[in-house]
Amino acid sequence: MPDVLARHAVRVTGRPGGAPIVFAHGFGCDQTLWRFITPAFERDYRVVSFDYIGAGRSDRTSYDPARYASLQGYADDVLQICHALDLEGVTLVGHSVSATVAMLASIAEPRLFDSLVLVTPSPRYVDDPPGYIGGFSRADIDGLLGMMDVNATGWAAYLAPVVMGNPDRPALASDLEATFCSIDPVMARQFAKVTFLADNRADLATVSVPSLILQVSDDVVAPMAVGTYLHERLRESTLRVIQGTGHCPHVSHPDETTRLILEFLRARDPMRHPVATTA
Amino acid sequence: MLDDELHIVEANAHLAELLGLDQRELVGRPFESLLSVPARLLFQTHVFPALLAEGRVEEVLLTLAGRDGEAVPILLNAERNPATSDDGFVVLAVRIRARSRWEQDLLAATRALEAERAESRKLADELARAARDLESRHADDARSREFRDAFVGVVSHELRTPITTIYGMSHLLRQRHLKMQPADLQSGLEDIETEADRLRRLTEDLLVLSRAEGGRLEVADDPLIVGHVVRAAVQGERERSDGHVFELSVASGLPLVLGDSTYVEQVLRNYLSNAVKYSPAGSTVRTSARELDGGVSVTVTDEGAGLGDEPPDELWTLFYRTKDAIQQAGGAGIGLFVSKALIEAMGGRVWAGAAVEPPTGGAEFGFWLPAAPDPGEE
Repeated sequence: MPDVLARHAVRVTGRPGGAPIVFAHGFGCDQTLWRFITPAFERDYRVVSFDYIGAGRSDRTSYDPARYASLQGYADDVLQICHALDLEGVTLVGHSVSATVAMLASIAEPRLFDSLVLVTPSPRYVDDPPGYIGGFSRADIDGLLGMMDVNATGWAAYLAPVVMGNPDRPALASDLEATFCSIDPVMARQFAKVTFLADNRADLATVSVPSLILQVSDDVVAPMAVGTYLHERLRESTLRVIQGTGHCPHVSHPDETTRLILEFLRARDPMRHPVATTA
Repeated sequence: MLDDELHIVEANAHLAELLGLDQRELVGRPFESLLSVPARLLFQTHVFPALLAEGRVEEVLLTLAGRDGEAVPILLNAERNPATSDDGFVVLAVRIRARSRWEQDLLAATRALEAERAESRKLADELARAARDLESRHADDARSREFRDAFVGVVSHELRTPITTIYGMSHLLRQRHLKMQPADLQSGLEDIETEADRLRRLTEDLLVLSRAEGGRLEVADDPLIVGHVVRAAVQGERERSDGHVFELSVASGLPLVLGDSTYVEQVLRNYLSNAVKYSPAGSTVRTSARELDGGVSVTVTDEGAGLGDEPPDELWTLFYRTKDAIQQAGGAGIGLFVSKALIEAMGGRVWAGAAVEPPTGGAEFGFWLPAAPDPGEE
């Protein structure tokens, strides 16, 4: 197995010859968060998920602060993984900040991708008055970073599940179905900083791959206005809204999330499979 | 108690009091709406996924949006309702005061430690830089010490030889001149004159050297006729020498150059005396002056062994003497260095190489000086 696949704890399931669908997890958790929806894709698709360096069972020793000082470093990871698996016509599903990462990856190599699925995306979290409401002030972001620092100082246990990924307990680590959601505090903080202080609005115009925007009606992290902002600026984008609360519809509303993604992909099928044009 | 959508089903009076709200107002509200904005971010990105995926979270520091916008730090424990296992969550929020302060202190201490580390890194960098400075100063010192040693060694030798001759010879002449043959007397006086001349030249070179080393080398930039200077220098060398043939060719119509005739002559004397020193008696030393590149070039060639493989640039280094040179003749290794300094101070350049014509394999030393601006143009 190429190094890159081990480094990112890449997991490949589903139909070996199927169209590839790659799931990129967001900030705050790891690839295990996809497990509520990935089974629905395994019959028809080649399903790929992975951990960013510092998250889940990735190789944390290969964390490079310079590489991950911008979202481009994460996009490069995604591209490397796609190439290591020799994928073509990829559907890239990115949650939260990974939606931006997905856009950056598609800008770098548009021909690698068939389509993007952007789950609760936001190109910029901080307000930029007048004219742009990201939902947060700079002070809010500083407050978040401060809170993360305190939570990471030692006995606060929100990162308790990290122990599940402990190399001292390989039995747990090798159990693919183990339920945990772990992220290295240093990586998490940097990821948070890069994520919440990023401004990728200018990149939207250069995205040429068709995309599905999955918006949750009541999401404080990526409010409705941000979803419509993206929809207006992304060429060939489809906006679907899930009625509900929260930032992780693939966890809170897995069935609806799955249905909307499959609908979007099936609508694209005629283009991906020329056989349909003879019908 | 929260429902599956994390809306509040039931809340106790204590929580209501923390928030400055009526207990009944809380029911039906999304739990995250009780949080401060930064805490909402943390909740949605970290706590909520963990809660849904794992069914529980423990001891997460969050802040509630309290009365008057005051942020109230709490520790949050939550787990899926054990009674129904699939329906809602039980949430316990504990207000933290002392512990929050503790954690803040710990964080502050951690940051202070990090700052201190950064500070000591900076200090270490500065120390390393200072050490490098010292080393380079030490190297400078070593260089200047080396210079002084070489200087003292060379000069004492180069001075002592002529002084010894002058002293010894004049002593001899004073005691015996009445009894000496006129030819011996003549020869003795010539020796004294030669050695005194050698001393004079060395003194002139040393004077230039000390000015050049101190950065105080100043040269006049008078318009001068190179032909005159060259003729004077060659004539002087011809009188001094008795074993060499001197040829001189000065092209006609040479432009005036800017410079200091005393210094140009000094350079030429250095070149000529080197040519004499390093070529066999009876051979020819050729001096020629011609127009070149908007100036005048002067070359002195000899019929000696040439420069061999010696790197030409090294020749101009102070105190540098080739192995062959050391074997062939005495010298201080100052002349060429001084010549280069003088010519460059006059805006010219020097070079050394193999003599081109006639092809006898000797050495060629040359210098070039720029022509003076045409007075008609001013």
